[in-house]
Amino acid sequence: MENKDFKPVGAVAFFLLMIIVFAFMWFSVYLINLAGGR
Amino acid sequence: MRIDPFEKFAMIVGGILLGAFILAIAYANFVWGVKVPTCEVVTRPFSKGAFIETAPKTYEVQVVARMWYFDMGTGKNEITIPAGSKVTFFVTSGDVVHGIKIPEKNINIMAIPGVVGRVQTTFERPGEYLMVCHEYCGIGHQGMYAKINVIQ
Amino acid sequence: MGKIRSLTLWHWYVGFAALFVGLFFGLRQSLARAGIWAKYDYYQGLTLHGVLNALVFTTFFIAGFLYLTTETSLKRPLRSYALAWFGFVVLLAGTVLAAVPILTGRASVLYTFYPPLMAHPSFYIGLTLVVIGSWIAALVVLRTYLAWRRENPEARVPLMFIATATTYIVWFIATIGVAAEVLFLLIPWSLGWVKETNPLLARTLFWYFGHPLVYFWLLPAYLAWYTIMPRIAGGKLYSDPMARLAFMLFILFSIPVGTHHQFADPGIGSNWKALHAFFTFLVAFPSLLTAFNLAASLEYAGKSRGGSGLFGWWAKLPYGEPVFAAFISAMILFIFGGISGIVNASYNLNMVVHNTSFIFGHFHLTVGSAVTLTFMGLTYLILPKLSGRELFGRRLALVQSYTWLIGMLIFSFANMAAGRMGVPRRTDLGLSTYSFPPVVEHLEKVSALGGVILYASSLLFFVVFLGTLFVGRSSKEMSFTLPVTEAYQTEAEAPRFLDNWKVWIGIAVVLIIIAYTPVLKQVLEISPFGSPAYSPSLPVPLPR
Repeated sequence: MENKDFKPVGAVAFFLLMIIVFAFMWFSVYLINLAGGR
Repeated sequence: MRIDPFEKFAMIVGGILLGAFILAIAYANFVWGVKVPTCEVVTRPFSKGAFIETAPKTYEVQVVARMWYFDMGTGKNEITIPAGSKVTFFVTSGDVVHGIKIPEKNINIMAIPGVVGRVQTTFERPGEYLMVCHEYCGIGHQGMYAKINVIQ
Repeated sequence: MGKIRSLTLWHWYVGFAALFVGLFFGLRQSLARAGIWAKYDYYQGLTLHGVLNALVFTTFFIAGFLYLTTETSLKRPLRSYALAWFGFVVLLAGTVLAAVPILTGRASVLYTFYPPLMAHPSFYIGLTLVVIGSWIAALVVLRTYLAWRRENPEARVPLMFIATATTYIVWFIATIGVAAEVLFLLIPWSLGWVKETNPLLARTLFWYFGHPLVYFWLLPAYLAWYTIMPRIAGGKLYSDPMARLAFMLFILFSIPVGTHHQFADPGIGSNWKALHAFFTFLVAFPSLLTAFNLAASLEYAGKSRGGSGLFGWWAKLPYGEPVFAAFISAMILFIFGGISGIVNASYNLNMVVHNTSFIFGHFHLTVGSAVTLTFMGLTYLILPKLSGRELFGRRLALVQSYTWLIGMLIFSFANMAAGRMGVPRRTDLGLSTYSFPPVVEHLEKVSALGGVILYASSLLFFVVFLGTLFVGRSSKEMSFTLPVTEAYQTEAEAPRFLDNWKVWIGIAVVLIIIAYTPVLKQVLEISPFGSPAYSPSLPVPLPR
């Protein structure tokens, strides 16, 4: 692979997936909190 | 410094995520009143528990956490309140560091000797609520709990 | 540079011995919480597990490893070996002094040792020596750097050394807090020179140290992921400048965040807690940068190996290589460790999870996986080089990495789920006199299953470790340097100010003053020096 050809599009896709997982896990606890407990 | 477009994209998305979390936290705090304990300067530490009805369905509970029970001024490890009661807990410790967690509620506060903490919640649903010590306080820690009976 | 060999190896022998003992008690706890094999002193075991694994193992491993990264990155011998060995002796003496009272049941105060529960003075003195030993190790690295700087006045600081130095800078600033706590509060109090202490002040000083402590563990793992892992994967680091930026942000924001461990504490204003929460969000940012940079590096490796498309490169990574297997498993677990950490740090969200089993579910994904499993991978890489023997049992090492991945996912997710239901942390749950809904009992059994898998995995590690040392086939490839990754975007593209230590340390000190002056002022005003000493086994103050 030529050095300058590299475009990390796969890493961007992975990063977006990770962000979605983050948001999901975070808001699942957030909703417990808004409800005042479990 | 030159930042390549892919990195810039990741930084922006990451920033948006963290920003969204901060906004949601502020919303829970200011709109829903989900607070964290703060510095209480008015109430001084007390050494005896008390359970006071300050108004109908409004209670103040002074909790002294001790190795290995909660003194709430009722002479036993429980209090009984009607459903819909608004309860303010003032919490301190008579010996080592303890903590209070009501598993079914987002009530969570440390009991530290020499300092008083305050938390408030409303018990809407009738039932038996557990209140457990959640900080290690010696060999009896796993037996340290109290009950909040919420009746119709 | 052959002198580094025994220096690093001896640090690792002691560190892994501590890990070996500590892990047994980890197994016991996960079983005891499920009500299995519960007849033992849970809190003594918990103290051993925390002190030996989180404090002793990490400190020894990191000291030994960072000597190696210093020599590799600066290409010169340490200055000096005598001083480094002296540091080792101090670390070892401290460990023994702290371990004896724990083993004899006189220091069952857990690794956070909150007063007014009091341990035997030897526990505090031992921990002080461990900190001083680590300062000596930091001094050796600093002196080596200064000598290198004199010899190379114009050279850029290599990324590997940026990571090494960042680890010790964060550590040094952090340990000032715990040193103040132990030297001025706890040692005089435990020796009986003063009768009463200040529990909230002690907690605040502890957590000033306690949060950057986790970066002291994590940054050497980042070092490995940034500067070693891409090469093991067959690629390059995507961006050296962004890696430098990430490390400098860690210097800035690792420390003025400690109050996020005290969101539930009385006596500290919620406004200052919010400030610390905000800084914690800023310290999450370099970790997000790291996730992208490492993913791009892996993509580069996967595509170099013939992978293509948006996700095809994942399939081409060298999953059959033990070092890579450990690294990738550690990184996957750290994704979940990262988000659960952001949950903990999220101010009022913390009211759901504080001091519940969510907390150790979280930190077994970070220090117990991202850090420990990366250190195991580093051992698979480096032990053969230092010992001059081939890695014993490559397949065992592979199985070890992936069973750790599976075991930890089971263990942590079970405990995070239980934590969301309010199950307390640090509690001998098997003997508790209250009970939770039946689903919690099931979750504790799932957690115990995870614990058993993890313990079996750790035994495989020790088989590989000892097997390599004692029965590994000797190889001719003895070497005392590490494989260093090249960068795709090189250091030449990084502006010079990114390695200007003075600027970053200066800003960090200013941020610490801003974040901690109001907190300490408030704590000193509200919290008295009024707590006598207690033993964990008596509900009355100790007669003194």
